[in-house]
Amino acid sequence: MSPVLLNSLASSTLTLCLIFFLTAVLSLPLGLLVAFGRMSRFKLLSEPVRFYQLVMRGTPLILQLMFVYFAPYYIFGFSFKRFTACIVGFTINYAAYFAEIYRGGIASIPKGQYEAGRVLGFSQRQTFLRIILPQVIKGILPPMGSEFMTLVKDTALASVIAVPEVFRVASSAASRSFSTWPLVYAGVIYFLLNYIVEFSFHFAEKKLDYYR
Amino acid sequence: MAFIEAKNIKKNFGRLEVLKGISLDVREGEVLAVIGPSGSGKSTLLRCLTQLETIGSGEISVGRVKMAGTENGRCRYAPAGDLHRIQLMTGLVFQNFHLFPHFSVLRNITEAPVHVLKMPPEEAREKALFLLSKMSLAEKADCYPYQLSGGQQQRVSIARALALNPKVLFFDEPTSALDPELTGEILKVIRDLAREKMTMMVVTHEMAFARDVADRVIFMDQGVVIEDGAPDKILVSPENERIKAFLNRFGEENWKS
Repeated sequence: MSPVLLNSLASSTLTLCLIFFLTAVLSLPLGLLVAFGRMSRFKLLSEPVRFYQLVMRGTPLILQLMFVYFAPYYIFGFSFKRFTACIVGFTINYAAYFAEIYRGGIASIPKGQYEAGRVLGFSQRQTFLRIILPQVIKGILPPMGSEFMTLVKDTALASVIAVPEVFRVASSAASRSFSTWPLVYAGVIYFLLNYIVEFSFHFAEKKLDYYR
Repeated sequence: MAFIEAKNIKKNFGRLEVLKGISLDVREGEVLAVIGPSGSGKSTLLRCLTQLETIGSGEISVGRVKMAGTENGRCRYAPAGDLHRIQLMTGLVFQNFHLFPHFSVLRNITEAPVHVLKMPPEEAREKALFLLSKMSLAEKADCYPYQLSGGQQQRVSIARALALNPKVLFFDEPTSALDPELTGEILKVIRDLAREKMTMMVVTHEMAFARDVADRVIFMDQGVVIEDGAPDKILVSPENERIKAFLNRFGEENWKS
């Protein structure tokens, strides 16, 4: 492997990791808010939230990224930077999926847990944060792990708005050098990163295995 | 003045009238057993008194603090601060325990004192250990709920309720989810509490227990209190036909099972 290729693969891997972490950090809390909105008794809130989720889950992420990057210029006359557009696109897309996972997790907690919290004098907020959420997290770890592995691979879609992540760097190196090796390297990078993700979730599941 | 006063409580679930004007008083130190067939509104009444359900109309006060009242047909609840005060005066033991599965037994008991009453953790811990030893569960402090039998879980949930020093304890069919063999250990705990003059209101199907431990029994059917009086009068020599029929059928069913 040439030093140039090695260098560009390394920096693109950093970009990938940055997209991954920023998306995770932003969409995990946003997803929880979306889940609350979706579960709201007020149709004026829950129905628009549901429609937003329908759009996010019903159209290709690759088109959403293009939309976030190009549309603001035509509508408002300004554009996000490539990287910012990429993070915005990923965050609003993943929040929609995370919301569904949270929703399922929250629905799986028996009503009695809320009632027990209530009769012991906990506020609604305390009941949620101390009693409900910890149990939700344990329950949603497997689907969340899956979603995070998908996120690692989905970062490749950022190439469509020319963010220099692993897939874009590898495929342009491949066409420059008339070689498929850069793409093989890219595949190995995705795999190794997901190996770490899978390992972390496995570890977290083991950690929360102390109760049933 | 009675510790709990409820006047003319009405409660609907949609078009279904569950409570059709219930009035009752519970004096301090009194043990009241509530019996009656399924669907008679016993549990709903308990849930209204512990604020898990809201009433449609009527009046409730607990420990001289007004919880809800009705004026000109509109039911109003007290400000949040009063409701919280009442909440802390009342403890509830559920049929299915509802322990927090992710907390150890000890933390199940200390969590509310520490985070609701702001009790220092060390003090809460000592209190919890004292309550656990009272429940003969001292050695289970570090276990998780799933490691305990149903009877042990129910005793932990009683300790959890007692940790807030409630003035009155409500029990919603505390032994109905338990094997007959485990029922005794819970009834013994309630009996001990009665001896300590804890004010209690117990919804139960354990007629023998109601007769032995309760100071007073109320019989409910279809959302009304049919009879309110001494256990012997209601359970041993009932005059009301409906109660006679219930007790007869109940006796037969117990015999069969």
